Amino acid sequence: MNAILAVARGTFREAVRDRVLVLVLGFGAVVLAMSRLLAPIALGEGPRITVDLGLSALGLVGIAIVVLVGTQLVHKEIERRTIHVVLSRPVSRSEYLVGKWAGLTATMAVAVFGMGAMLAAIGTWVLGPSIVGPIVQAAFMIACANAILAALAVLFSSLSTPVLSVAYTLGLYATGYWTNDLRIFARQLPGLSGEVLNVMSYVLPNLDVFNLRSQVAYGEGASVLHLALGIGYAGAYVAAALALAVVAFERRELK
Amino acid sequence: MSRGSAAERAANAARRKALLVFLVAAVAIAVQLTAVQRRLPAREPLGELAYYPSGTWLQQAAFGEATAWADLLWLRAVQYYGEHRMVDNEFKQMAHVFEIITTLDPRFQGAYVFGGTSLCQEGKQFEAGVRLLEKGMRHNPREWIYPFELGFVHYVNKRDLTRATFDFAQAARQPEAPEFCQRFAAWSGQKAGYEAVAFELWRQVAETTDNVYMRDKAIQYLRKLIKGTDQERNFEIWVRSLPPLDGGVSEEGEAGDGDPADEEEAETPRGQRMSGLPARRGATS
Repeated sequence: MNAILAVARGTFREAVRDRVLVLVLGFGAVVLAMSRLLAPIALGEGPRITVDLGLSALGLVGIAIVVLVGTQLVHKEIERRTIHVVLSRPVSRSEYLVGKWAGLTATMAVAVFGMGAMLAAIGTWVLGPSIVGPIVQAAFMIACANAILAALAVLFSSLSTPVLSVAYTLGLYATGYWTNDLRIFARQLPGLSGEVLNVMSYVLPNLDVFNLRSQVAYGEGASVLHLALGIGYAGAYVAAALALAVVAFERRELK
Repeated sequence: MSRGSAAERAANAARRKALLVFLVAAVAIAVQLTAVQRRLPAREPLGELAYYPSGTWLQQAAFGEATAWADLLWLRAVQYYGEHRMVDNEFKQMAHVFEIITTLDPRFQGAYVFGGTSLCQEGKQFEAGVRLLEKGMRHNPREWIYPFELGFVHYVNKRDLTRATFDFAQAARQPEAPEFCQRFAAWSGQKAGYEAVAFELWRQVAETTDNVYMRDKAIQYLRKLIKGTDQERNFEIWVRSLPPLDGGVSEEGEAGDGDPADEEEAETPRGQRMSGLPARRGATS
């Protein structure tokens, strides 16, 4: 556990030092400000649009951090050979990977919750304090979705090059919003192809589970059951992705 | 030392040359662009809206951000409406754009109401407007606003009192329906004077909307209805007393814009000041 925490701390510090976090947070702040500036021309829809676009910015910031930082996490250390320094200490490969994921997720969560706090302050100003709860819920679910993508990014980063890792992670991010449609499509396909598609729709991450944006924009939150199921699903998916990453990474020969 | 300063002088000279080239190129770009733009045929304002794909397609391509896309399109649609209202009063793409917005966000009340009523009135596409409002009702069956607006457009645009009565009554049955839904159902059911009820309907819009264009439209219609009556002065005071709204290009003055005497009168409650206007037309029973 100490080894995992040490690796996570190192990853977090590195991400903060990398300036990516600053750039991404700067982008998020600009989007938040823009959404507020657009409000006056929205003909009465300004407050709702501010919250809606703000939540989108939160999601984009999270995915940007996961893709920009996460997809090169392990690969960069292998290439620089700094990984040998870490693994020569009492740190196993599995602890190393889980630590990398934890550090990346912490970085993403700090950014998402930091911006979430800004959005909650703006939301309270334009819509009243009742919007804070739904915004916190939405930010939490965004962080859960991005934690899954972070685990997948670590998996790809430990197996492949950064460019391919970006492609795979973004591909899964995109298909993560199509899994429900895939299931419907699978029902219309006959035989094996339908079956394969159906299985795929369960294997791919279902990111719609974590999407509360359309509810929150109208001031509504999710039920406790929805949140609990979302957390459970995210936890299980992260565990599965990291387990696969460990299996692959344990076999990998590090030059 | 001398070699260093010579290199420095050369670097400075190169920088100055580069800056000069940049300035000349910038001026050339500005001149050419202005000349080219003058020769290009005038584009239809926001004509690109015609090329927007269907809402169903966009929903798939939005990757969970469908409502954010709906918001951005709403801003574009508002711009489209404003541009065409000032230029040619033609709204060819409006039905298409509002259809996309409401597919991306089926709960977007402002888009249904503004799009539906605008299509029925200045858009001169009554069927498309009704379709949009009916879509709103389908997706939000417990909301009173959609049947109410349907009653509104059938009453005001088509003078179809039977359909309007049905719609107002439908609105009145919804859980959070305000009391005036029942009132309008009764008035249109009793075939009360058309102008008086229309006046009340438009007044309701002017007083309750958050949309500056909707309010402008309501005031224009009210002004037409009240023209030539002895209530014109009171009407203008009432208009000035309405709280200002954000956005758009309002054709009406902001609150408190008139002379001091008017402002003093404008402080009285709106409902009181305007009461009796429809009755003057001898309609509301």
